[in-house]
Amino acid sequence: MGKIILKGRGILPGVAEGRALVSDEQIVWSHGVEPSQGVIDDRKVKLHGQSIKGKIFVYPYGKGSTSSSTWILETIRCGNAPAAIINRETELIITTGFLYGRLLYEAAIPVVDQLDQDPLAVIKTGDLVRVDGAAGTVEVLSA
Amino acid sequence: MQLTDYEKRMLEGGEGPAPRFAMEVLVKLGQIYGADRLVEVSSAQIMAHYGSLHDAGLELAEKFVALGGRFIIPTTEDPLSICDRHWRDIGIPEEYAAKQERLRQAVLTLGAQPAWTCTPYLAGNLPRFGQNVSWAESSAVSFANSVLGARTNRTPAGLNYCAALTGRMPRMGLYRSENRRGQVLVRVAAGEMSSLDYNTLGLLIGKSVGNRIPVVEGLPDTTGVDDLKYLGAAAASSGVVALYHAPGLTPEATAGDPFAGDKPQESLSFGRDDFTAMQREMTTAAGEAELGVVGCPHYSVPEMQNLAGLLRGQKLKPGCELWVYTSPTVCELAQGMGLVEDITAAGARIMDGNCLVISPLGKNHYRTMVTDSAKAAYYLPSEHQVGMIYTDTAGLVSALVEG
Repeated sequence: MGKIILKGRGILPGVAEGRALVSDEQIVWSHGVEPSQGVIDDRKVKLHGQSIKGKIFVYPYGKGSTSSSTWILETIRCGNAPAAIINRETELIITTGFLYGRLLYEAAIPVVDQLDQDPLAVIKTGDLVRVDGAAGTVEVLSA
Repeated sequence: MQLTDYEKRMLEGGEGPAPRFAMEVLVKLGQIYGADRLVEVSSAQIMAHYGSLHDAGLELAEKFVALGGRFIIPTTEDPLSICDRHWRDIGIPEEYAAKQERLRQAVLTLGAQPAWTCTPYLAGNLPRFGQNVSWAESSAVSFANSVLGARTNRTPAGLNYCAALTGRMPRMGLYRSENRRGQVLVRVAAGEMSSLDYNTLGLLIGKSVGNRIPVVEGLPDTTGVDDLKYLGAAAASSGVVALYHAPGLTPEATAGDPFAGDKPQESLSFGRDDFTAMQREMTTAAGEAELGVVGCPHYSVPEMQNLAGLLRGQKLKPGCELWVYTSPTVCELAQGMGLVEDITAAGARIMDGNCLVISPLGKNHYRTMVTDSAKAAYYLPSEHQVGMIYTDTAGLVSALVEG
């Protein structure tokens, strides 16, 4: 299979390549991701217990508390952040967390959303994926 | 994005390094989300609880202090992650309390008011109809938008510091009139409603509408401010409701058609049977309650009066605790009225300026809690791994006191 290229909105720039972790459920960072380990500890989601560290983390959108932005920032501070974020729709709470991560901890983690194909349908957990946040592109290199 | 001369001066550093940093964040976010300009915001409600801000949030607040920042609009904050009266005796670690103390000192240095409450509107942070503010805390956001008719987005923790330092936010989301229209019609047919009923209704609404804007019809004329506080807090827990309308009760829906001429996307109706079923669903414990939790959102003076009346002359059972969450402002009024004495004489603790959703439980491992709050019943079981009994205040008191 040839590589697939998706085009969307570049929220935050940066280039990252890594293995995808895909959730078809909303992700709550606040009380849902343990920053000191980079592990999803929300018992209500299927990815409970999975590590997000270094992954291309794909999920539809965020849910829940306005404090998720500082849970994201703490995960970055602890060095346990994903390599990139791909959402259907990236809300302000998520963007704020990763923008602060850039300003405080020089973590250039790309964030893209509004892709021309549904990332949840095209990308599978374990796929090798390359994200270019400035161009707003996602390449699925191998399944 | 269009900026005024003053905003440009802040962005270029003419007002100092802290407003410059804050303006860079606001302009960047505004560009990402296509805002045409910034709006002036007249107050901020920020988060300064270590339980959610962690070391990263502490470093952010201390960075603004190091840059010489000052909040230029009235700024209140959410509860702290410790209660000054009781953190030692319930067994919160010293190191945790010390981090919280550093965070408190940072925001006070920046010029915040020591409000420490999720109900800032009961502590002097009270915007008028139509006024733009920048608030965090989902229940306070709902109250500001819905009950007061002020305008705020669900502002992320940390971003409110930028609003407080500059008096600005990007013009997007609920700052724009076209994004405030009702989307889902909710008809309520339940006759007279108790405080618990408003909590339960909020859960039902949030679960059904998600992040859309409900228009709630059929609420009784006797609906009070505390009732709307609970309705909004619950709908912002089970859903992401930042604004609801209730014709005849909330100002925006009373000033004009809340659907602005459009048809609702969906119509729902809730009655007594739905309330009963949801109430049962929220009770997850079969055993006897060991810890009662009230004041989520923070208890008002009338609620402190009600609780004091229920507890007067009673004693908590041995091994049972009752933690009463309220603001320092309300606590002071309650103290002056003798209510604090009635409540504490029964063996309950007043946890003013604190919130159990964002705080450690301390040294005791409780298995079963009881609460009169839908928001507490929604969050506490997963936050503290406990079973929950969800009932009205009178039922809660009778479960905890000696027979």
